This record gives sequence, structure tokens and C-alpha cells, in this order.
Amino acid sequence: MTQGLDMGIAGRTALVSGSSEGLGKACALALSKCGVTVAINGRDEAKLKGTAAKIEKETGGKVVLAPGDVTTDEGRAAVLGQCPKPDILVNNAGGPPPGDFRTWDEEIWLKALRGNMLYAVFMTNAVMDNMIEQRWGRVINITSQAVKMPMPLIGLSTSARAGLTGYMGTIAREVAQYGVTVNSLLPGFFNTKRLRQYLENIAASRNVTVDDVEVERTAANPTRRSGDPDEFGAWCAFVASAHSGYMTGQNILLDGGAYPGVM
Amino acid sequence: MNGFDLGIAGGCALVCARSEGLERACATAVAQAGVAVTINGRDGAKLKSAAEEIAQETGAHVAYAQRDVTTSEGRTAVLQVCSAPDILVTNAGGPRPDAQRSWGDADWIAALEAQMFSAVLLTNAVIGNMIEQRWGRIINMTSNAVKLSMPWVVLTTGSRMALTGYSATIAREVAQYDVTVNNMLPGPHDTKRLREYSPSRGKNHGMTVEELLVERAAGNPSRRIGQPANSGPGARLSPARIRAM
Repeated sequence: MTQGLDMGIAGRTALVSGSSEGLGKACALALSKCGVTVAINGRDEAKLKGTAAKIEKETGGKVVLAPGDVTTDEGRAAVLGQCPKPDILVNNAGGPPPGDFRTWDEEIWLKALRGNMLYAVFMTNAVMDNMIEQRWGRVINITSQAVKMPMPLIGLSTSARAGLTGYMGTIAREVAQYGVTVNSLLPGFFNTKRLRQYLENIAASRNVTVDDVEVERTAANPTRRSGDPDEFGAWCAFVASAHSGYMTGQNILLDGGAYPGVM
Repeated sequence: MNGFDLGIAGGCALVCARSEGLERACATAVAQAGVAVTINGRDGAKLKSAAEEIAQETGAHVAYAQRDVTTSEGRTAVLQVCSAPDILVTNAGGPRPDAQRSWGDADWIAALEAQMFSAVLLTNAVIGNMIEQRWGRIINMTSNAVKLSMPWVVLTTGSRMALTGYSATIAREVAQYDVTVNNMLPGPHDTKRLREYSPSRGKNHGMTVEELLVERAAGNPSRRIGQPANSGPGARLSPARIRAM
């Protein structure tokens, strides 16, 4: 009997930004399980080394370090120098802190747009021609459920990610004919550090405890729980797989059914 | 190398599968993940050979029930072969595409029986056990027509949208028991059904099946139609071929 589903991407190369922890790390781990050489990225090189060691130990796969800040030109150049021609590009970056919309000036807006939209546009553009030339590629963006269902206090990242969604939806149709797919995964609440930070901000804004917010939020989700990052990583691996070649331009919600719309 | 562990080996699935097309591809993929599969269909000889081929290809246990799930008796018989599946994949062939506008009550009821009730009643028959065991997956195969209206498929689209509404509702009710309910919406794939239908067929008298497929591919951003077992790029039209059309 076969053991598991052959994803058909063993031997390929992936570059996953923002992957020293959380959802980005879970994506890198799942891709590594499929036999993909994974370049992982983060700003803290020591932390990145620790993540690489953990992934290599678990999967036996090859992990390349690509440290740098992908929201800057220099950072992207350094990261792409470590992995110039990925077959699979996963765009992920932490968002700005939640806050009061009245306090966001132009400088804050531009930083958010660079941090949650433009970095992914420029990373994608840097690797796209090679994907087109080789007639195979996967671009996967990690955005947020907030793109379909806006939530309080996170207008900066939601706006930037919605802008990214528009861009990706457009180019998806332009490059599909070359065997390159472009999709986004929209996480709801997963057990990560970022979720904890968001809950702390919500709790502070409402003058209640983090546990109160957590209990309330979990009860409101149809699954009555938060997601496990590995559940998210597995979706990334499948969208990257050879089997997903006929799916492009999609925004896949992984939110336990929280978004109430039918489609 | 070993594949990606989907974590469902040892379970059992009921895949409402004809012996071919997308349904068979689903049955094969689930079997590859180490799941015992029961398939059903109306053509006994084809069904038997499909079951044998899937078993041989995957090493999984494959049972079959020569029954029509659009009837109450058929569903009962199929559920006798596989009464407590961990995974249920529903699908039923729909009425042929037709430009007719005068569909009556009988036409609608037949379409709803085939493409909505069969899935609803199969779901209801197995979901109690899924809830009890705190794990289950229900996957309905509908159509991209549910999101993107197309000519000639009013009966199937109406029926499938009704199913979509039903599954979206119960999905939120059973999520807390680790039972998920989702739909897959195929666009054009290289199946028999596609060959029976092309939106512009009416204005292209005398087109061959091959020409219809070329036309469908050219209109898609990927310049191809999907392969039921999609493990590769499949046939893609060359730009020259598209320009020549």
C-alpha cells in the first residue's frame, strides 16, 4: 500500500518569507515533508538557524537560510540572493500592530502597504519570469480572513492585504497559461504568537482579560477552537503540489467556518 | 519517496462515484491515502472493473454497490455496504444541458432528487455517526456554475445551489464535533459530461468534440481543461493554436 499522497513536488525549491515561526514556519515544514528544498526567511538570523535545525531534524530535508527584511529593497535582494529561482514562493509577513484608525498618518500607511502588500508584489515579480520560462510555478500568499470579513483595529493590514488580493487575482489570469498558479490562503485564528498579541490588544481596548477574550472568541467559532498551524501548512503544501495545477486566483479561507457567507 | 501523510489511513469513505471521471479520480486519491473506499454506480460491469483497478493501483480495500443513489432504495442499499463512513463524497449526474425554458414541476423535482436530495439524505444518514465519533468529512461535488452562471444548465445549477445552501447551514452546526462540510466546484475537466456540453454549441453547428474541447481550453486563462487526476499540467494549447481559432 502507498503511504500518503505523493504531492509530486519532491526536488523542487521553495522560498517562504516570514517563516522563522508561526504559519510561515508551518508552511516551510509541510513543504519540506514533501521533499522540497526550502529557503526560510526572517530578520533574526539566530532564530532562523534554530527553525532550520528543527525542520531538518523532523523531515530530513534540505533547508537554506535566507535572512533579511523582505519589506525593504536591500532585504529582498539579500533573500533572493540565497534563493534566486524558487519553483514555489510563499509570501508571508507579520502585520503592523492593531490600533485606532484616527492615528494612522501617511508614513504609517506607507509602512503598512510596504509591509503587507508591496513586499509580496516585488518578491513575486522578481521570481515570476523564471516560473513562466520553466512553465511551472506556484505563488501562495498568506493574507487573512479579514480580507473577506473586516475586524476591528486591524484596518492597516486589512487594507494592504486586500490590495494584494486585487493584484494577485489579476496576475493569476495572466500567467495561468504558463503553468504558474497564484493563490492566497486566508487564515482565521491559529494558535500563534500573533494571535496572542491580537487578543491582548482587543482585551486592552475593552478593559477585559485576555482569557475573557479567548473564551468568547472560541465560543463564537463554529469549531469552538483555534486552528493548529500544521493544518495551515498542509494546505500550503497541497496548493503548491502538482495536483493543484488547475486552481488559480483563489482565496482559500481556513477559519473554522467563521466567515458567515455561503461562497 | 513516501507521500504526504494525510492522516486518514485506516478510515473508510463512501464515494458516490460513477466508474469514471472526477468521481473515480476522487475515489482513487482517497484510496491512495490508505482509506477503504466504497464506490457506487449503475453500470455493474464498469463498476466492478473500476473497483478492481483502484484496488490494484492503490492497495486499498475497494467495495462497490451497483445502485443508484438518487433513489431511496438505492441509498439504502449503498448504505448497507458502507453504513458508517468517515468520509462521504457526494455527486450525482445531472440532467443534460438543454436550452429549453419550459421546465415543469416534474423536471424540477427530478433534478432536485438527483442533485440535491440524494446528497442531503446521504449526509443525514451518516452524519449522526460522524458526530458521535467526533470526526467526519462531507464533500459535495457541485460545479463552478454555482458561482458563475452559464446558459443551458438551469436545472442543475438551481439544484446544486440549493445543496450549497443546505451544506453551508449544517457546516456551522456540526463544526464543533470535528465534522467538516465543504463543496468542490469543478470547472471544465476532461470528462464525458464536458463533451456533452459547450456553452456556444448552439452557434457552432457541426463542431467536433475535439473542436469543442479546444474552444473550452482557449477560453480559460490556463488554456487547458482540467485533468480528473490532476498530477501534471496535462495538455495545454499552444499560443499558435489559440491564435488560429
